[in-house]
Amino acid sequence: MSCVHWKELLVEQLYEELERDKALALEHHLADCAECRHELEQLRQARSLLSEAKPEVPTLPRVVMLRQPTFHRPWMAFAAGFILCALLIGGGIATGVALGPKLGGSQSTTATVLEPLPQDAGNAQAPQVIDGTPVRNDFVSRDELNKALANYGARFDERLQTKGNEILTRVGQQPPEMLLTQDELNDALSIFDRQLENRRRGQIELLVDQLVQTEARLKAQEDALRILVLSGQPGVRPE
Amino acid sequence: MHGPTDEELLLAVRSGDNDSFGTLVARWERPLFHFVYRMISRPEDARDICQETFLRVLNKAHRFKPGAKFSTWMYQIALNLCRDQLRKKRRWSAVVVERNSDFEPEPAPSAVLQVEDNPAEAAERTERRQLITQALGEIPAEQREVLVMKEFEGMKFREIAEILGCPESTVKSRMYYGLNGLKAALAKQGFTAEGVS
Ligand SMILES: [Zn+2]
Repeated sequence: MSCVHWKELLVEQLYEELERDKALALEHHLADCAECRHELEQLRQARSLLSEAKPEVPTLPRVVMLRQPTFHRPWMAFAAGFILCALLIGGGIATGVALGPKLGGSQSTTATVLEPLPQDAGNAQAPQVIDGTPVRNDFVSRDELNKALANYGARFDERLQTKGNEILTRVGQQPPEMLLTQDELNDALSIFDRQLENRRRGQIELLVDQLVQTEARLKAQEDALRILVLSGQPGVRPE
Repeated sequence: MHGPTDEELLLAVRSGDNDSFGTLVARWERPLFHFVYRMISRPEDARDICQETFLRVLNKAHRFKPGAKFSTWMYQIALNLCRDQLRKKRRWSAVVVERNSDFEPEPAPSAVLQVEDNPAEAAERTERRQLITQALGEIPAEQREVLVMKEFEGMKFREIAEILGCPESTVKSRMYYGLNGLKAALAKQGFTAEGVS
């Protein structure tokens, strides 16, 4: 006698997943079939053995999420905003204030974004975590950025003041016939404005281009980035 | 359930919401670690696989089909990683017996603790466990997976079928042959449910 079709029900019965009507049917069959009764007993023994081997699960290692602001859109937008803003301010001074490296001696904030990524950026190392604290790579916090921005602003004011004084002094030294009329001054200013605008636009386009490229490259290396790092239990140093 | 569903969170992750990802991780890290650990039994590897699973969830969030169940998808990812890992290690039993003292096991339920007073009994229990684990390593991987998910993880046959992407009847059939195979492997060593004879 073949009881193959009962095997599935026996397994369900073993794990108490049998529907009521099927359970009744099986019960009737078991009353008549010694083979299936034996089979179920064998399965119960096997299950009991299996349950003995159930591994105790060690304490869950903590999952630490590492944020890399450089790689997140909102931050990129913020950085881009900052650069544009710096450019607009910087562009206002005809002499041109070098961006980035001269930000009041603080950590270069714009330089990170302005400088093109090295060609081997695809091999970027995963950020490390030591004792649960992410090791910083090349990103700045919002606070640092604000500080740098304030610093930059202060220096700008200072320079503008100096520049203004310088111009006023020079104007004062000119003989009256060399001074411009209001119209001439306006014309000169609007030419200057246009030139400035063109230059600014060029720089902005370059920057946006760079930002887009950077983002594309970062996308490509997504797999290399460990945004998540599981650190061990407290006291256990992850490799 | 309080708050957004897993699927809602994943949709938010897709649109760049990292906090939602954090919520998903917090919600699933524990069950996932249990699942993976019971599949491969090495804490370091289990940890790496959990990390990789979450990373893939993040990177492949856009591929998640609306209407699917998040946990099934996540377990599928984890299971594939476990399989890769086990293929690399070749022998499951050899992997499973290793223990890492850095990781403290969860406290055993009090019912078990009561019996654990006798050191001889404890030693025998450990030995039996190792023998059974070894026997488990001798049955086909597809059967072992089902046994682990069912007996150790307490999943329903329907859930297992969804994760494996096969009919429920296949799962039950693997369960049936897996249990019989396990018993046969142990019988070869004169091992029964009652003790070593
Ligand atoms: Zn029968």
